Amino acid sequence: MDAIIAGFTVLVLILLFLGSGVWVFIGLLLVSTSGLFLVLDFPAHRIGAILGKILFRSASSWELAAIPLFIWMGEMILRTDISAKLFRGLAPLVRHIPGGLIHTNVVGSTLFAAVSGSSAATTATVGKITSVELKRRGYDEKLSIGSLAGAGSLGLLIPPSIVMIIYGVLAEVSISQLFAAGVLPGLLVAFLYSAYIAIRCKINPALAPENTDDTITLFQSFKDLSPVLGLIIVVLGAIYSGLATPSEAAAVGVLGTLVLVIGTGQMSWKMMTESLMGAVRSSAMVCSILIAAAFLSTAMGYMHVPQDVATAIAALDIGPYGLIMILAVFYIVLGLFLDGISIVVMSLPITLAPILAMGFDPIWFGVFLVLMVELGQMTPPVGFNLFVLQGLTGIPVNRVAIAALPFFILMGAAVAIITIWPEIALWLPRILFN
Amino acid sequence: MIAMINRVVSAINRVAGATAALLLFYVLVHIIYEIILRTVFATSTFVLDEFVGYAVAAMTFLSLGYALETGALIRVDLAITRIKGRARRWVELFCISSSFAMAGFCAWWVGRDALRNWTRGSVSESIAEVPLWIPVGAVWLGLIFLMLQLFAYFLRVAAGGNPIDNEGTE
Repeated sequence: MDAIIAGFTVLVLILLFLGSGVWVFIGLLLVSTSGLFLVLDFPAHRIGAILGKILFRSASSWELAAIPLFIWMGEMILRTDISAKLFRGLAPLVRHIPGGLIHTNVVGSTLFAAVSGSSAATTATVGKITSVELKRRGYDEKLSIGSLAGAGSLGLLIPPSIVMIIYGVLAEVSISQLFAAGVLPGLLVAFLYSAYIAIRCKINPALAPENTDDTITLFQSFKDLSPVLGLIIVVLGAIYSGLATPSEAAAVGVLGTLVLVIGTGQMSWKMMTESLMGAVRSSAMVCSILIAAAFLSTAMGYMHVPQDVATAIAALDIGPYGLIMILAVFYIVLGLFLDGISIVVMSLPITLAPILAMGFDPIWFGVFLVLMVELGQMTPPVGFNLFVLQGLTGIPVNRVAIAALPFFILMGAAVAIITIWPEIALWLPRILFN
Repeated sequence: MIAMINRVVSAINRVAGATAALLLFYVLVHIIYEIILRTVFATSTFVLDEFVGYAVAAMTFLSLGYALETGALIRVDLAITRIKGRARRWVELFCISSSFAMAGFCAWWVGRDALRNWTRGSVSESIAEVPLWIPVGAVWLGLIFLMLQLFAYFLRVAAGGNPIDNEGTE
């Protein structure tokens, strides 16, 4: 009975503070503080003493440094000609596949995801060029916008990934292994997307017009792709050669980007200050939510919420696949209303314990969670990729969402595939780390 | 008067944000320096985790006011973007006052920790023996700037000004 009252109180507090639009990080602190006060009758000085300690300790954890650094890197790249070069370099490579240049969305996002930690940055950087170029050449708008909404979210799954860093910190799982686990599922999703585009365009060639401007050689193509390929090699190479930890690799990536920006003559005072201040703003948002989540997690622990939920789920006797089904529905519903980071930090204190109790690998669950978050990025009314695309193209969110629907379903299929064959996620980290 | 308070707070936010940007640059330099020391000279600064951790903590909290002012701090805006005018303003004032109270509660307890570290001369357990009131104090200062921003924003909305909406970053 107590567990039900506690759970209900927390739910009401969440609806009150987050639903009314309080900034997410303060909202999480308010939910936790008032939860401890109302449910457990903790006196204010006890809550305050716990709060003060946790705020400072979780804020000064050094794994967090990767987040502002990766965001800074993305802010710089967005302000360069790298995305234009990416499109120019990929175009001759994908031209002869059915669907032609629409594949630049998928392949471009997959490559760019390997230097970027977030899906909004990936969608914005790749879409900046492709949304204009594909429209100009008469490609089907629905297919090109939908594929961009779907593929842009790969930024979270393919390493480096800010959401994976957050999961790794909260679930106390190796971030390098998580990064490795995301690679094959990411390629699987990209393959499903490209196959779907090719089949659609094979059936109806009118979706993708013939290409005429055929002058770029393979060498030029490689030259255009070299900045992105170079950065991928620098970032992932630094992690998996053992030169740097994932947090340090972010610094290596920033250094690589700085060299690139200076080397190509694109450095300016404006570029430097705008990218730095943009990074400071976005990382204040991400890191503050993560810090608040550490307190939420502690508060939930005091209220025995994770244990109670785990016990309740064990009593249901639904088995591992049943649990995953329930969680998938739960996360899709959350994804309708919340952004990815909030979903991860708010749900983990509750869902991690039952998942581990059922014998799931925490690395695998990280990949599952990231895929669920990616699905949430594509669903209205709150879906960041849809917002980014609306900003880029001027097409209203609901129409972008309809265009993204087939890609939402394909990603859902990918979730089913990695649930049935978890080895797709777990094989690479095992090979690399054993 | 309200406009002036907002201008002053905005200036404080920009200075704090610029300080955070410098800290980010410092984090970059320290990590690269550490990697070079480790791979080339097989040595270390021995304080990387600690110093970078402090810098990230200070950076995050110092830039909160700036991030809030520029709409970078996300909120669940499903309900608030659907209500307009007077009702929206009342909901906004509720959000601001509860946030102010929460930030004040944090600032009180973090400030008490900083003060204790100062009076007792507590230092970190590493070889650097950093006086702990410095990083804890930076977090406290960030919370104070956040409260200032919330206060200025409260006045602006109460006087009929426009609410800050999500900027749409992720």
